[in-house]
Amino acid sequence: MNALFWILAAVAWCFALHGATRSSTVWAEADRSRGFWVTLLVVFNALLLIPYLVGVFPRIVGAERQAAQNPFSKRARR
Amino acid sequence: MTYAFATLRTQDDNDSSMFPAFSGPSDPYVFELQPDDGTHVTQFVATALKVHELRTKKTLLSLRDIKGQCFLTDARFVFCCEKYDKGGGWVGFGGLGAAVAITANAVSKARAAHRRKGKMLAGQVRYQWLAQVGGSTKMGMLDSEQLRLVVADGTRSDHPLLLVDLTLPKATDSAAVAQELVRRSSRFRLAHDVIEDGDRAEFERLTAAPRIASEKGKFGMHVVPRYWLAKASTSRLPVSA
Repeated sequence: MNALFWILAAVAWCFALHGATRSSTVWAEADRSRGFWVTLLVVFNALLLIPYLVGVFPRIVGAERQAAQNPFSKRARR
Repeated sequence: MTYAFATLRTQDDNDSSMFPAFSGPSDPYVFELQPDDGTHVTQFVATALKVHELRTKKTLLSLRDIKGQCFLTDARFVFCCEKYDKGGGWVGFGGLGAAVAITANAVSKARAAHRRKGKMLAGQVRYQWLAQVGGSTKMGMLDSEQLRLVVADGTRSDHPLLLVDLTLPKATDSAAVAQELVRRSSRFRLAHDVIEDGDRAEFERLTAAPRIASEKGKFGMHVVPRYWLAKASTSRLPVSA
């Protein structure tokens, strides 16, 4: 049980790291708060993994595709 | 009908002269495209909107933490926000407080969703209404990327200049958005409006306007030489005298 908890916690922290490294444009496009979700994932890790995977992660992935087409992105203009 | 850049629209509001109309189920965007809009529509996101009067500094509309969809078409700038009222905001401390806050937030968000049903906050600046446009680049921790459009409300007798400030995500280049907006606006005016010879050279220069870098906390503005007051009678070009 203890080992399972730490595995889920590690997965949650990986998702937190993934979320923290997405641009503000992606989070705005996904209509979710980066500070809120990354903080919750770091603090409550395994407990919030499923809500994050269901309600946030798919939006982030979709938003990333959308944001890649943004012609006004600073990254695209470099 | 007064013009304050954006207003609440329902499915029944079909007239898009002053504000955008809802699109049909087969349309690609949330607002209804018109023939003038062309096919080259560029889209980006804004996270806050503030509309205020230049002279009186009175705030007409202010929204934060939103997902506002912004579109540049060949004829206008369009802003649409479906989740303009989110509800929530309850905070609780301790076990009981947290439980109360979670419940209150759930109820508040459900009620907000019910209030929003079938409505969206929508606004537009037709290119003939655009007086100035500029961007303010994020340079410090407390700054944000901002886009400012200036338009004159023609529905009121004193024709106040309205400042439409949109906050963009920090990865979006507001100066590039302003540059594209003024270029499209100038091309549209040259193609559809009656331009006096004295202004033609300036409009032609603006079709290839450079990117104006802003100073910290200020906007780098493009100024359009001549513009129409925002009202229903000027929503179609050429405007009959």
